[in-house]
Amino acid sequence: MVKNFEKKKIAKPLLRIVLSLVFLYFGISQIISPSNWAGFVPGFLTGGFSANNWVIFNGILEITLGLFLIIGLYVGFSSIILAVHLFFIALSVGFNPIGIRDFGLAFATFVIFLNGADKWCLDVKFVKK
Amino acid sequence: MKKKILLASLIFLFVILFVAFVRLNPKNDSGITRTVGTGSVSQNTTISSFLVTSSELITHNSQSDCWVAYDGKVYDITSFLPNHPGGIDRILPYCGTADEFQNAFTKQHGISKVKMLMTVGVLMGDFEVKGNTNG
Repeated sequence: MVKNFEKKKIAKPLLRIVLSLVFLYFGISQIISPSNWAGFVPGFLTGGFSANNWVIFNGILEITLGLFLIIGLYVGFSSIILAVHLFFIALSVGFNPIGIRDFGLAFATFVIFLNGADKWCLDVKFVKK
Repeated sequence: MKKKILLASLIFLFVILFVAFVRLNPKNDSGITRTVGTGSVSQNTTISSFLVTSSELITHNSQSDCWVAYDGKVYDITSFLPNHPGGIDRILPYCGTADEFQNAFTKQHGISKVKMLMTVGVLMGDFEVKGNTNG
């Protein structure tokens, strides 16, 4: 049985680490199979840059910020970028189960931004030095 | 502060190298090889000469092997199924079908997602209807 104070201690890092795994999974998936995701790229973006390249660019963004988030580097910056990014994806997907899920994940990521760096974050360790 | 920026730069560099490694590996994505009938075709090659009969189409009707026909062309959408925003269950009943899929697709999306279908699906060939080539 986890005691109350222990629960509070692990709540913030747990949310941060688990959500960063979600972004890493989708980022890696986009890099490995961009054509599976190309259909989701809005038409107005594909003028001068192919949909596949947008997906790869997005994958790089998600993996980089996901790695930042998992080790706790620039937590505020990474989480707000990912939250806004996911929020727009949820809006574009629309009112269906996937859109609602993404909306929930976007808000969970926003909560990481509100929480700020927890004690396990590298941000905190850098400040201490 | 400098160490923090250096670490962030190293992570970014690592990601770029990872992406370069994955994308330059011919096994990934664009190099997928599929087998249709008696011929083995690459996604990047012209495969319009392949004809898929309705009896063959109907055999690709599962989550692990899902082909659909739209506007005279047959697409393998197996790898897209888990990514369908509406869920797998919305497409699964139409795997291995032509008219049923096209009607459901048009009813749900109109023509707004046709380009997407062509992008996410692997073109397997032309759909042969009752002995006649359609498309």
